[in-house]
Amino acid sequence: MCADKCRECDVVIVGSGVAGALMAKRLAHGGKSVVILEAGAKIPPNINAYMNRFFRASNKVPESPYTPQLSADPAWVNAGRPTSLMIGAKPEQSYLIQKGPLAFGSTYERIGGGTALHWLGTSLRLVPNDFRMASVYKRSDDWPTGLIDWPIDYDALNSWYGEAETELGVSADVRDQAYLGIRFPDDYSYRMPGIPLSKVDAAVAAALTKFTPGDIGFLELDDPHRPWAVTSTPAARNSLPYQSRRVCAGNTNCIPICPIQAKYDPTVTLNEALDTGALDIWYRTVAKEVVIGENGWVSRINYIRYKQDIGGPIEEGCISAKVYVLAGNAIETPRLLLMSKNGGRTAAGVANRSDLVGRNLMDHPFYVAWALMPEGRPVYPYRGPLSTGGVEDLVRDGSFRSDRAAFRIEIGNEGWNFVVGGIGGDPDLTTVDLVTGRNRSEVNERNEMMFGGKLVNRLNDLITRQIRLGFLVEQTPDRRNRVTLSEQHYDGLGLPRPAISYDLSDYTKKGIVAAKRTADLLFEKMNARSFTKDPPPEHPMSFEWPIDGKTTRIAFGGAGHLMGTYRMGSDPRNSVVNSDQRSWDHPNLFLVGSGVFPTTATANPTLTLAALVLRTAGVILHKDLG
Amino acid sequence: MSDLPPGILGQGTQGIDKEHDVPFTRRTVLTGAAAATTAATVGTVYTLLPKFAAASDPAPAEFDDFIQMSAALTGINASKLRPKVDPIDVKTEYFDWVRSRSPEAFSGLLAFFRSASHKEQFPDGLFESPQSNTEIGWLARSIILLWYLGAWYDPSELQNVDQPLKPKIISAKAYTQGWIWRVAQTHPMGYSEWAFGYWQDDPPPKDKFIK
Repeated sequence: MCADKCRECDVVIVGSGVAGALMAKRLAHGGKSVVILEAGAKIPPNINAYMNRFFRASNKVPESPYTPQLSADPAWVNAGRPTSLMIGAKPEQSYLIQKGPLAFGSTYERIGGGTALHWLGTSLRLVPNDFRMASVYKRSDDWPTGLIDWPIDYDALNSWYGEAETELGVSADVRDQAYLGIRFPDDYSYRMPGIPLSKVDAAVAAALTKFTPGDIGFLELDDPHRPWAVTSTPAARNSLPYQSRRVCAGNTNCIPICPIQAKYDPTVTLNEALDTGALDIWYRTVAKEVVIGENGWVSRINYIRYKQDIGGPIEEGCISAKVYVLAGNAIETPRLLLMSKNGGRTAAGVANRSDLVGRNLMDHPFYVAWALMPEGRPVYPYRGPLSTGGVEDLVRDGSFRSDRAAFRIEIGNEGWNFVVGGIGGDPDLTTVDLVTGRNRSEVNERNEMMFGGKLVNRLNDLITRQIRLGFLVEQTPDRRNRVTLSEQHYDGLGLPRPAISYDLSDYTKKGIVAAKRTADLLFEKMNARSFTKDPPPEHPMSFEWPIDGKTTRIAFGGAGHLMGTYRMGSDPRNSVVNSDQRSWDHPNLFLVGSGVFPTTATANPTLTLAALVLRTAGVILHKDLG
Repeated sequence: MSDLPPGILGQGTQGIDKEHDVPFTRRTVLTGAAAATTAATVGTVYTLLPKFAAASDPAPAEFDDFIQMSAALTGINASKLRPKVDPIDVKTEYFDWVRSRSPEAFSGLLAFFRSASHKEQFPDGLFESPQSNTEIGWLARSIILLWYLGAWYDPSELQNVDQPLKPKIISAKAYTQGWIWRVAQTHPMGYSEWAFGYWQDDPPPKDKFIK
């Protein structure tokens, strides 16, 4: 079409999120000329453009500060994205086409800086056994289904974890994090000291000391006598000034936006890369097709440009390079690969000889439970970072993983903010209930209407006792859980929207059940009253499971951790990329991001995907790729 | 961290409000934050800054009644609703907003307040009277929610418990000045005026925030 007019550079990267930004920085610093194609809008010159949108949003969902607007029909939006309010919705409202049987509950951004504009900052390393799930925990061909080893191990990533912790600026203490086989180099220290625990963390820690081996028998831990503890969660959040950014002021708003950028986001890295003069970012530029040359190497990427969020394309073009890096996410990257049919030469999509592109979509199914502490026992939520502490060392690994999924516990500092009545529920929902006699919160059982001093006292009493626990459960790969291209629904540029098939394995469900039972036990030990709702049968993210002989319906959410759809491996028949994240099929094509994860583990994926990107940047810089 | 909790499905979305683009900058916010900090620590400094004092109170008598009435409704001390140093000045925005939205009911509510013999107890009289379930009574509840949440809940919507509520954050600064956060001994999410590590200790007592 326009090969002779293609702009040329050394490396083209699709996507400017964490993975794309880190890749761009390393390559630009290494002397390569780099162009990023970013589907979404430019980062505003001043964060207050985002803050203003956030402050004025009636529903303060993770997407609130960002464009495009939330209420538009995705058929008209040029670079749409799934949003939290539209997960169970029809295609007229939901960008993702949900094919079931369960709904996929995670969302992402398509904007300069990517989804990590609203990440929490949690930066846990994987434990060594996370890299060898099949070798260590597979009992038979049938159980647990889907387990597979990574093509690299913890030791191969150890130093790259350190580099990632430097790039992101992680606050943590090595002493807290050396568990379950996690090792650090001898004189290693995190860049900044750990984040102090909150009053909510302290209340959970106190309750954990009351666990007896008998209480927790259902977890089948290897050593049920080991004491439980809450530890400060490693976070890319400043406990000291770092990278010219301020210290965290506890805005309790890591998601959707830190107002002072005390939490790392990819714009930090993008700015460092831009400073070299070797990086160009082309915004509102959507990659449409990865073109494969006669030799099997990628020869160019065709793209579409648009001007406004809604209104269709303004121009098409192409760019060619020596190396191509796709850094979308585990939905947009397979979507691009599947759209790239090369006139039928790659009818099943680019890099897809294994037929695994788009398959094995995974998340961390998120079980949340919420409760009120006993009267007179305030824990003062809505203070500090959204989460400061968690429980990891006992629950992330053990021989129980031959039977059920592991999880980690995240303690929330935001009370019932995103659990009661939906995201952004409290403190607003409870306030409206007490003023107007409603009882949506279930704390105003007598439908009282209050004002003045009584209102002040009751609200203070209720809000300061709110507690929220979250459990991130590992999910096993299943080739039927997949991203395909919708045949009926398109976006504003005329490109097919992603269709998602999604379900949970029994192994994963058993992990969620263990999480629920742990939450119930913890609330019992706290003498807290649970307000966790049983979902209705039609809830699209729920399932039934027998607990103590009684069928119980359990709801879960998405964690925003998209994984698995172009996984890495050591066998081209069973993976899409190798351990260098290089396509088995096209030698100058690299696919990065958590889409390469063969299994999910229990850690939030950003730190590990960052470590993998930095490692791959070294490969690209040090090998002659023609 | 989850993007999606259970239980949110089927809700309508809320567009971004472009209608009331009140000028708002980080600078005014920080100025306000500094003033609030000052207020908590060295109250007498106000006498040195007379030019800020009650700078923009409109229609003094009616405005004063609005503040006193709001204090009785919200349980927040009037001196907090109308601080002497108040560059943010959300009170005037609220006054203008309520007056323009429901002029007749607002006049009726103010009249009820003026006729009360004990101003602090006026809400008791209002909510125990037949007026409680009229537009005047529900306007009073909308005013409480405006001060607490920075959001306007239309009185006609509040009256009907079966009707889904469509609150409107009336401006960016209104969100940052919501009293619910202070009542809960904290700060609005995304608008901390505190320093690193504060969250490991108990907050100051509730009355420090509201009296």
